[in-house]
Amino acid sequence: MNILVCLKQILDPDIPARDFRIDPERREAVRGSADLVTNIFCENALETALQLRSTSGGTITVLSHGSEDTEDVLRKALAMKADEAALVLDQDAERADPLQAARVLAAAIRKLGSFDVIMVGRESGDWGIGQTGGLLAEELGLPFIALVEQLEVDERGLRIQRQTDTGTEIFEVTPPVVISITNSENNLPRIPKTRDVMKSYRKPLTTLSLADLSLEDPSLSPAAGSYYRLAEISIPEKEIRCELVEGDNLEQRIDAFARRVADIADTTR
Amino acid sequence: MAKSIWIVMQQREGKLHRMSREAIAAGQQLAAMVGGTASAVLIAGDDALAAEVAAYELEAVKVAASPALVDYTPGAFVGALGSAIAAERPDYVLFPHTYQSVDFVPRLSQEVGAALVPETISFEMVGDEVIWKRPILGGKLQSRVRVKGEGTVFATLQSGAFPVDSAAAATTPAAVQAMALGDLVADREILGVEQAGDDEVDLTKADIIVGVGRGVGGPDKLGPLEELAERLGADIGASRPVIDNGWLPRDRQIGSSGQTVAPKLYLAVGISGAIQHQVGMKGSSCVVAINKDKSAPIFGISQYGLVGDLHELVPALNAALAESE
Repeated sequence: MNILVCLKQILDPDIPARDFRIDPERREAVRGSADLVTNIFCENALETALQLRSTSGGTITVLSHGSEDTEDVLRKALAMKADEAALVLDQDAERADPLQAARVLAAAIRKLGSFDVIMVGRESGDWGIGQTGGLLAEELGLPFIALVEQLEVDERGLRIQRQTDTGTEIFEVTPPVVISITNSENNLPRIPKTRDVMKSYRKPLTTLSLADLSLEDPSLSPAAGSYYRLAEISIPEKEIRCELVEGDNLEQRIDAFARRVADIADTTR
Repeated sequence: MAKSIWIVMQQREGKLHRMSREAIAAGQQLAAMVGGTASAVLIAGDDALAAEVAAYELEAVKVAASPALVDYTPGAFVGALGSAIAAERPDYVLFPHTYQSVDFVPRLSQEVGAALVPETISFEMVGDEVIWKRPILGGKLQSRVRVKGEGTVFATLQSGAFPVDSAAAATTPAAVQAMALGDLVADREILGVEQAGDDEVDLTKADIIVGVGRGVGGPDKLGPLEELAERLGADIGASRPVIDNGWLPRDRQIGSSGQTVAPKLYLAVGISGAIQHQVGMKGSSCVVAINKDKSAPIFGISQYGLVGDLHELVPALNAALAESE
């Protein structure tokens, strides 16, 4: 199996809300003190790919669309033992809508070679759109399967276990396919060894520009085909600024907290 | 010209998914806002189910009936909806944001050239434009987006964002129409299914949920939490580690590999609030948390928080709630 895994770099979604700043002009969340991390569901996809390779052989190529900072995501993937890495360098990647992102990834995948399985994470921890995989599949003219928990190679191709609204379902597909991976008890991302982290920096990394993908002409650019535009980004009106309930002693804190909980519970009746 | 809005129903074995009713509420609201009519699209389903949908205030109930549509496959669903949308060009098509929609709606949107706004929580008119609101960064921020260009707009609707009880009933039932269907290709043959639970625990309907996390420490420590749930009239849910450790059964799981819930009150106890959990409960109207770590991400999406040892705080909270009863 030749496997390609798309990896997205995002603002650490676990940082406290109070640490978020918004730049109203540029309509984006300002990084501030937040770390940049690999989207966790993308790491679940990479872990799934690593396991598939260990049982069925093949190679793993990792691909990102982002700014120079995104190299970190690819180096980490190489440290986890991905075979090849490629970055589509684009300073505006962060502002791409899902259709733009899918078009860039599709063009890069066509350039990089042919793959049996293309994996994405189920959604990103920042925008949470969860469409890139489906749109990418359409761009490549391949079937798409969302929310895959497990897959294995069998005589007919791939045996897929997919999450549904009521449980899971199992079926077989013939590669090539695009799949989105959800987290399961089996795909917790491995931690790379220090030695492999060091080695990852000596591995080659392919850098592609939008021009390399023939996407630089404005009429061909993904922006021309994108379908929505951010009007505004804001802190929710029902502003979530957590009040940590205080008091002089435990009893006071509990009473104050109990009152608030009981009040909210009452409104549901 | 009057706008047309289609609302795609999700059903299984003749029962509407709860979020289908929420989608009807949203569709009626959108129709009133943009000046238009809302029709439901029912894929498969018998006459009884069509009549149930027709009891809501709708222009029509369009039924796509074919043996190929009885069990969900993306190929047949995209085929049926794609040709109907291409022929009739509705202005808006709304879908519940379910795992089924996530699987086929992006493909459908590409086939008919529609823009897709996922997991919408509300919409409003600004001038003559519809602005769609959706949460980002696990609900810590909100974005408002406008769709570029002309053509059909798709939106999927976040669980719990449009209350079922705001859906208006019809004075006279809506007309039930058969949809014209071309050749449909079921492109998956399901070899096996596994139900998540015994179907007795449907947390998606709960108004109040006490969510239990790893911090509880073990199955023998659940007593005070069960008492708390009982006092609040709540159901118990859990994050993944609790389920994986076997402390509670799988049908209690909330998050990216469990149920997606949207209660009015979500009381998170000993849950750190990782993104995998947040995707399953970010639609909650109000989140309140108890955690020993005041920098836990759960406090980032909570209205109120209590920092401390849950084994000390929960029994004390039970006592305080008992006193106020």
